[in-house]
Amino acid sequence: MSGARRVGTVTVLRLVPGNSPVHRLWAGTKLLVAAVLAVICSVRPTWPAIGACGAVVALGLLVGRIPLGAFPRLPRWFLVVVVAGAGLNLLAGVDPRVEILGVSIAVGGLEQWARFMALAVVLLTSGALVGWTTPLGEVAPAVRTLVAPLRWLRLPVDEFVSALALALRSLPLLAEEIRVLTATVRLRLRDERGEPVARFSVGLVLGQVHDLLGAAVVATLRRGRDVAEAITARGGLGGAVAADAGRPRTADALVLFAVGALTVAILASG
Amino acid sequence: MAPRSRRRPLAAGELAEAALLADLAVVLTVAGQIVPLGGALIALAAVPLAVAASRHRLRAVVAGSIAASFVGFLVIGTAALWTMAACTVLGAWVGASDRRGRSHRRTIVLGSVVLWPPVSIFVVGMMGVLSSLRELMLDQIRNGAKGSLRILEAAGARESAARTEEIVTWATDHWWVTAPVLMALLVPLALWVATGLSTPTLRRVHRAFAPPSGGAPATDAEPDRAAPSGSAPVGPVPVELHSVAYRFPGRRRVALDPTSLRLEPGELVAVTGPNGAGKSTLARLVAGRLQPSAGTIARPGAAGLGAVGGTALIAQRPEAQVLGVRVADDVVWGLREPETVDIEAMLTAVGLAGFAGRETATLSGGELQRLAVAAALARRPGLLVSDESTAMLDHEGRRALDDLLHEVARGGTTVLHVTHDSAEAAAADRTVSLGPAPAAIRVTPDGRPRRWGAGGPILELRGVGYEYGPGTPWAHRALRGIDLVVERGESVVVVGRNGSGKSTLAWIASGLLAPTEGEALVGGTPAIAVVGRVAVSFQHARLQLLRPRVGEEIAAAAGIDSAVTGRVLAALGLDPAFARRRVDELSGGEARRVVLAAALAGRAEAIVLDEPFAGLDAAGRADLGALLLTLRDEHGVAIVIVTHDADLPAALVERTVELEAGRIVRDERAATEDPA
Repeated sequence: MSGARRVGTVTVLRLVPGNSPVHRLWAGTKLLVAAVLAVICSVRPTWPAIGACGAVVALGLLVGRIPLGAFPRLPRWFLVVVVAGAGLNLLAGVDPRVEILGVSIAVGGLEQWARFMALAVVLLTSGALVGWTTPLGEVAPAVRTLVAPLRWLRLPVDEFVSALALALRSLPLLAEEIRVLTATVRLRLRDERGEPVARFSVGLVLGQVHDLLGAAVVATLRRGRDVAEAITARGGLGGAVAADAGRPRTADALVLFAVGALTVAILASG
Repeated sequence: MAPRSRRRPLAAGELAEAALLADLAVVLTVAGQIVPLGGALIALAAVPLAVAASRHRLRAVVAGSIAASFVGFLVIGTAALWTMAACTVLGAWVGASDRRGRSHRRTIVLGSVVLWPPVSIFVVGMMGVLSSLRELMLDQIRNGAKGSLRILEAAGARESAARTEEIVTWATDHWWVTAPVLMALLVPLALWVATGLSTPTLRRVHRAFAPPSGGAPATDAEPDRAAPSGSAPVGPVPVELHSVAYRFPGRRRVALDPTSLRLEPGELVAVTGPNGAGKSTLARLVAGRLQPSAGTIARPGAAGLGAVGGTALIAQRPEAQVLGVRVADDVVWGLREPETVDIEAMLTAVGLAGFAGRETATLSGGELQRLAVAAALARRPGLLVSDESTAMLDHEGRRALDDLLHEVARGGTTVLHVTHDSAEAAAADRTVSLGPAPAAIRVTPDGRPRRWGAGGPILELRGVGYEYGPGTPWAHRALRGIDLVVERGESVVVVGRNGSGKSTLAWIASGLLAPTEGEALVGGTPAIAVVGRVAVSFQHARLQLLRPRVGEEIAAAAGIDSAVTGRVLAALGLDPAFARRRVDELSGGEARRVVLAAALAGRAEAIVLDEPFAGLDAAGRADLGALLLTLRDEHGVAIVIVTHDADLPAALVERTVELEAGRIVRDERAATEDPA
C-alpha cells in the first residue's frame, strides 16, 4: 500500500463529531488562539514557550475529546528522518555532555533536535485542532468578523472573505478530482512489455506531470466557470457567504483572556 | 481587450477562478507534505497560480492566494503559509510574463533581477525578527553538517572535513550574507523550474479557454454587482420574447433560431428539444443572463437575476451550483439581507426539514437540487428558470423535483422548465418545442453483432468488504461480504442509492482500491496487481482525458501507437476524424466514448462504468448504449455498469445486482433472454 494512493482521501479538515466545550467555542476564538500559538512558538522557540503552547493544545485535545485515531498515521520515512536527524545531532558533539554507563555523550545537539521536533508538532497540531472541532461553515463568517477592522485600511475585505468561503467549499471537490486524476494515471501506467504496472510511486506520477497538471488545471477552470455562473445566479458577489454562525460568548472571553495572559507571561519572561 | 482597472472590484469570474486555482495549489502543497518524496509536488503548486496570473489581475491572484493559504494553514499549519507565499510570487511572475508574451529566458533573467532584492530583504528581515527561531534552524544546519562530517572523518577524509566545517560555521554565523547569496541561486532556479512546468499547461489553457472576464465581450459580461439593488426596478414577468435569436460572439453557428414566447405569472411552461437545439440558451435569455442577438425581450422591469422578487436559475449539475459549506449557508448565499430569511421554513417547503446544519458535500443529487429550489424561494422570485435541473437525477428524484416545481408555480411564481423528460413536459401547462439538433457523431454498427458465449469468469469478488478510515473517528463501512462473479462477454448492472457502496465497488473491481476483507481477482490475479486490465469510466469522464487531442489521448491511455487510433475508432463505428478533436471541447457523452475507445484499444477485458448515462439525452443514450453492446458482443468485453438510473437501454440489462448499505440484496438475470 503506497502513501500516494491516499492523495485526496487523507482526511483533512474533517470535524470530529462531538459537542465538547471546545466544539462550542466560537470559531474566531479558536482561529485566534491557533494564530497566537504559532506566533509565540516562532518568536520564542524555547522549552518553556513550546511547553506552554503544547499544554494549551493538549488541553484542547483532551477537553475536545479528540481520539488518537484522528491523528494521521506517520509514514515510515518520517520515522527514518527523525532517527537520522537525532543521530547526526548526537555525532555533532554539542555541549553539554552526560555520562551514561561510563560513556560521555554530547546531548546538546539532541536537545536542539528535540526542541525543533516539538515545535513542529505543536504548530501542526494547533491548526489541526481547529479543523477537528470547528464545522467548516463557521470559519468564513468568523473570519469576516475578525478581519472587519481591516476595512478601515480600505482593504477589500469582502473579496477576501468570499474567496475564503469558495476555497473552503471547493477543497473537498478538488481533492476528489485529484483522486480521480491520480487513478486515471495509475490505470494507464504500463511497463516496457505493455503490462500493467503493479507498484505505484510518486516518480511514475511525475513522469506524466504535464498531462496531469494540464488536466487538473482545466478541470479547475471549468469548475471555476460553474462557480462564477452560480454566483451570478445568486445576484453576484457582495452578499452573504454563510448563515449566522454564532458569536463569541463568556467562554470565549475566558479562553482569550487566559491565552492572552499566557502570551504576555512568555514574552515578558524573555 | 478592455482596459484592466486596478481599482475595479473583482468580478465573480475572476474571483472564482483565482480562488479555485489557489485552492488547487494548496491541495498540491498538502499532498506534498503527506506523500513520501512529495516535496516535488510542492514545486507544481506554482503552476495553478501562474495560470491564474496569466488570466487575471494581480488583485484576484492575491485575494485567492491569501484565502487558500488560510485553508492550508488549517490543514498543515504555518508551513502552508511559507509555501504558498513562495508559489504565489513565482506563479504571479510567470503568469504575468506569459500574458506579456515574454520569452522563457527573459522571464527567468528579468524575474531574477526584479524578484531577488525584495525576496532577499524579506528573508533577511524575517530571520532578523524571528531571531530565536533563526538560531534554532541554524543550529540544525550546523549540527547536521558536523554530524555528517564526523562520519566523513571516520571514513578518513579528515582534512576536507575540517575545511567544510569551517565554511559551514562561517556561513551560518554570517547568515545575513549567506541568505541573499543563496537567494541569488534559488530565485533563478525556482523561476526556471516554474516556467518549465507552467508552459505546457498555460498553452493548453489558452487553447481550451477564451480570454477571461477582463476581455469578455460586452454581451456576455458579468451583470454588475449593483444590478440586484440597482436603479431599474425588478419585474421579470410577464415576459414576452419576440423573434429572439442568439449567436455566441465569434461563433458562426446560431445557438437559438428566432423564437417567440410569452410567459404569464404563475404558469409552468416546459421547453423540450434535443441537445444542441438551444434550450439552455433560451433559458439564459429569459433569465436575463444573455442579451439576444436579434429580436426583443419585453419585461415590466429588470430580470433581476438572483435579486429578491427577480429571477432564480437552477442549473443541470447539482454539485456545480452549490456555494455554501452547510445547507443553511447555501440558502442565504448572495442575499443582501440574509437575516430576513426563515431558513427552516424554506427547507421545509422543499422537503429538507432538519437539514440546515448538514454539510452540502454529504447531500445526494436530488437533495442538492431541492436545496437549489430552497435558495431560489428565499428570494421570493417572480420567475424560476430550471435549466434541465432534473437531467442528472434518478427516477425518484426527478419526480420529486418536478412535483416541487409545480408547487412553486401554484404559489404564483412563473416556472420555465427545460427538460427532455416527456412525462414532465406533458404535466406542464404549456410546452415549447425547439427545432432539430445539428448532426451529432453517430454510432453506425458495421455488420451483425454476434454474441460471445460465456467466456469464463474475468472478474471475481469473494467476500469483499471495505471500510474507509478504519481506526479513525470517521471510520465508515462501505461494503461487506460481497460475492460477485462476472464472466467475459457479460453485462451486469449494479444499482443502488447514494451511499450504498456502488462507487467503492467500482474502485475495488478495477484494482484502484485494495479490499479490506476478502479478495478481488481479475482473471485469477489480485486486481490490485493488474491495474489497467479492467478499464474504468468515471462519472466525471472529462477528468480522465489527460492529453489535448482525442487521438493522442486514446494512444496514451491504451499504450498504443497513435497511428492506429483511427482503426480503433472505426472498429467502434466512430468517425476516424474524431481523433483530431480537442478533448477540452467534447461533450460529456463524447468524453465517455473516448474512454471506451481507449479501453478497447488497450485490450481491456472488462470495463466498469460509473453512471455512464447521466446527463445524456435520448440520442446520446442510444449512441452510448450501442457502443457498449458492440464492446460486449463483438469484442467480448465484460461490462459492469454502476448506476442509480432505473431506465437503461434494455439490451444492456441482462443481469441486475442491487446494493443496499454495502450488501448485495438482489442478483437476478432478466427473465426473457432475447434470442439474437
